[in-house]
Amino acid sequence: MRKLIAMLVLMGTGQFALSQVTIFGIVQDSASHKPLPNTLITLGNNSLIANEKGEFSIPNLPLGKHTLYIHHVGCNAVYLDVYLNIDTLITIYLPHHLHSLTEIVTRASTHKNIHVHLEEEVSQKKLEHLAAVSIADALQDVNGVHFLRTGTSIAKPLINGMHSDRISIINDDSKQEGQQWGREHAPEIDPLSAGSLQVLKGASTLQFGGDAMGGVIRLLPAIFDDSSYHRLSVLTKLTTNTNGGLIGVKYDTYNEKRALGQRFVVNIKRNGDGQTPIYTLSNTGFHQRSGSYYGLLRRAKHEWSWNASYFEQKLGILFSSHSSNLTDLKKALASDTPLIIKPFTYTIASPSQQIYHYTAKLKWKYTSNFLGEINTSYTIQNNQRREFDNHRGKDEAALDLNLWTHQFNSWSVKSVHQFKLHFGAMGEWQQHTFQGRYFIPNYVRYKSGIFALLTLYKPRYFMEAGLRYDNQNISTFRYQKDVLLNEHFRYSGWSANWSGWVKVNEDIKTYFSLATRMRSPAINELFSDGLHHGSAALEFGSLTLQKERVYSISSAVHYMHNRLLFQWEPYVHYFQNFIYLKPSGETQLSIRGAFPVFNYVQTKARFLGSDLDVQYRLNSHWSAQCVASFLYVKDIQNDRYVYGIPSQRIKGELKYTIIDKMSLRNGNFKLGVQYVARQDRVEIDEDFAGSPPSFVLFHTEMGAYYKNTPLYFSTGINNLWNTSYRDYMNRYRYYADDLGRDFYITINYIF
Amino acid sequence: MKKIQINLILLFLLSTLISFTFLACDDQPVNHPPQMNEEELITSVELTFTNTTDDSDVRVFKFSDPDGAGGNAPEITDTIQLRATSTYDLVVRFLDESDPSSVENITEEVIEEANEHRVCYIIPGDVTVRITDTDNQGLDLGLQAVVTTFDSENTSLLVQLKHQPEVKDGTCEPGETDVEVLFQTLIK
Repeated sequence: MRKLIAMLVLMGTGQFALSQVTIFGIVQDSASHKPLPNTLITLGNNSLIANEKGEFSIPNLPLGKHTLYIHHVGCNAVYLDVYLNIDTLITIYLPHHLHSLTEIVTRASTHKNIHVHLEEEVSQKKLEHLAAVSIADALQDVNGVHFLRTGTSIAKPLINGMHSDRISIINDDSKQEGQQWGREHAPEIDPLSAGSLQVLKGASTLQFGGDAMGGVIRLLPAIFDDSSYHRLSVLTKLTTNTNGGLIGVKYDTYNEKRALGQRFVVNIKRNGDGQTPIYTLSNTGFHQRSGSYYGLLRRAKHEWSWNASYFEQKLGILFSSHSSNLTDLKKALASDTPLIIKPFTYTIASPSQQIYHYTAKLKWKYTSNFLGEINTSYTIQNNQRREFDNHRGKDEAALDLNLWTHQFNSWSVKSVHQFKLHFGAMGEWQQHTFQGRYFIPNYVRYKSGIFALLTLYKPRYFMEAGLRYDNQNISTFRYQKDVLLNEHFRYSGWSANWSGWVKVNEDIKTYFSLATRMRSPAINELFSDGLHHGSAALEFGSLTLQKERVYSISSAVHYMHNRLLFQWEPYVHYFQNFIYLKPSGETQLSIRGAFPVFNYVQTKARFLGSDLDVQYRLNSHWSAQCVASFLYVKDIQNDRYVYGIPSQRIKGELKYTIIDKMSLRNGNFKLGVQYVARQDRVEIDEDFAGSPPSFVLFHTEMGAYYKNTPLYFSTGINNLWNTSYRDYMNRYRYYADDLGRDFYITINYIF
Repeated sequence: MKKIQINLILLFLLSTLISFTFLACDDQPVNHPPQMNEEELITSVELTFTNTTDDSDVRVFKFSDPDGAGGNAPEITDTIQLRATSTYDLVVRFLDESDPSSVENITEEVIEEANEHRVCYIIPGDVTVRITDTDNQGLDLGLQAVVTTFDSENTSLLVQLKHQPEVKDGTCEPGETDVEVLFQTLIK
């Protein structure tokens, strides 16, 4: 298997036939994201004017380095170096409105050449082509992002081995406040409602909180075209495994005269039970409904935007994964197949989860010549989570949690020469109440933060330094016996980050980030007290937990020459007071039998890892890619491995680019293989069962536009050979195999 | 026209605000959390053995953990002591003693939902347990049984209460375990 990957990478060495590429570009105002028409673009002997939408293209360019000269009335001319080894789309942001001319940011959507290591973007097109229902679907191709799963429908993103509270999910500028308390709580996000998705690391994430130790996943709003239009897009996906389907409708409209853009999105998804190669995963069905409305209005120097969204999800929990006690759990673990297997159905029975998330948001942006760009936003969020099990009546949730969040953000961005100053403040009020079984107490939380970021742009280097102070006060209410307890907690602290890149020469760019960050203990880490139903474990929080602090160094080398792209990102995180759920090795007796005991403890921990990405272009159509990641995590105080860390994995992909063939345009064919090693770095006494063995999976996909129409389709097969496997990162591995072969087809159409 | 557009936006904001206010209405006040005890909490199992040949030989054994799973260790963990080569009528009771001032008899609920419950006895060694009561489907319920002992021995009795809504088939396999208590058992 490893040999095969090496072969894929090395296959085309020595083929240096010259081929030609096209550069496509869009020139936009860096502040308003409005296209800048009539911009003069010069590349070598080619000179042309961007059209009304700010778009241009220069075909038939040789591979290699090119210098673009970009000039727009009112802006100084800008030179931009780009490397081309594939057809490339770049977006050029000119600071047109400010007439301060040095800031230039580029983003490439088809090539990694121009992107900044600290930022990965998933474009709207890509989200649609993937028919991404969850964050996991949307981020599946982003190197360095893994997932902690519970079955097929619950996935928590994991960056640098960190998840839950150590990853922030940001909706434009405000933090998504869901109930991220359990391992089986996935973020309540519909990525298809977003304009695009970013994974951010480095100093810029300090705008969103000091606790995003692993990184930030940011959902950006849609960008409207500049001239009046109405656009209706329809998106469908059908899958054979789970017999599921997705239908999404999106309506975009922009009125140039009123400078008003509006967007409506509705997505519905339904899945039945999943199938392993041998049996049905009973009660793993899934329904999701979501909708959103987004509006944007510009008036001279003012820009107003508003947003409302609705998200509803109902999902089944694998029958056989629900254990009443250790005896049941041992019985389930001892069995090769799940103890309960029923015929396929769409019906979701108990145990199940039902989740609602509502958001309403208002944002105001004012551009002042003197003060720069001033932004203010106010967001209301309501999150409800109901969990059903067999102990109570069918209609009554065993666990019923309700979370309200009001968030206020204000920040300002001002550019002076090569410098950009970015500072702001946030305030948040959050209230949690519950009914039914106790899981965490009722609480009211006040949170506030201030930050400042200073950025310096030079052609050869880029630097960003940031500082942030966070404070939170929590007041909790719970009963102990018959006494109502009202307890108060306060956590505060500084976070700082310095990051940037240096261009060593035309081929090599290096990135770095030095950071220290602070995170307050989460409410479940403080207050868990007793049985975690369904997982047959007693979990105990600790009220004496201190804030968590991390010191991080990460870096990257980015090398690109002709057909080869090589990117290596090593990182190390050292935690003081790392909070995790540690098995005590003891069992406690109760009327329901014996249960193993887990405690939230603090320790010193070290995360050591690296992500590797090698791409090689074999000829004008074929290219090969190899992605690998490695992570080593240790509780250095107790000299123990930490539970739930992804094992080494390596992925290879061979891609054929379809430019125009048999009515198919602008598409590709892919054949991929993934190898996941067995996770050996585990403590034997800590896990209910040993790590599953390593496995190899193949997948294939073909996607393209039909002729010159706006019809895009893709079709593919996951788990091509119907391999039976279990992934260490999936909690269902204790009870059942993972999904078997799946055929899918996706169709996007724009009317 | 411009006015209308702005009004529409204001209407949207207003309606969002109102719907949020409505959503907020059914909230419980944050400083009044529910009491922590669960409904249908079972804290105690009580076994009553009556010798079939001697009505005065009544033996009661109990397991009690009043604060539920987690918290303090169980308060009462009796060892069952029975006479060798005897036959006993066994009656089992499940109690909620989390509030000593109002002890609830959960057995009544088990009887009400007999079609969803099954009491199971697992005992290694010579002792036999024969269930004598059934639900209205004719399937074993297990709140009453006949226990026959033979030679003297040191063994154990595992008592389980299975909750088997819609899956009850008379065996102990399906469903969730509501109670699982292991009694040390002495036959002499």
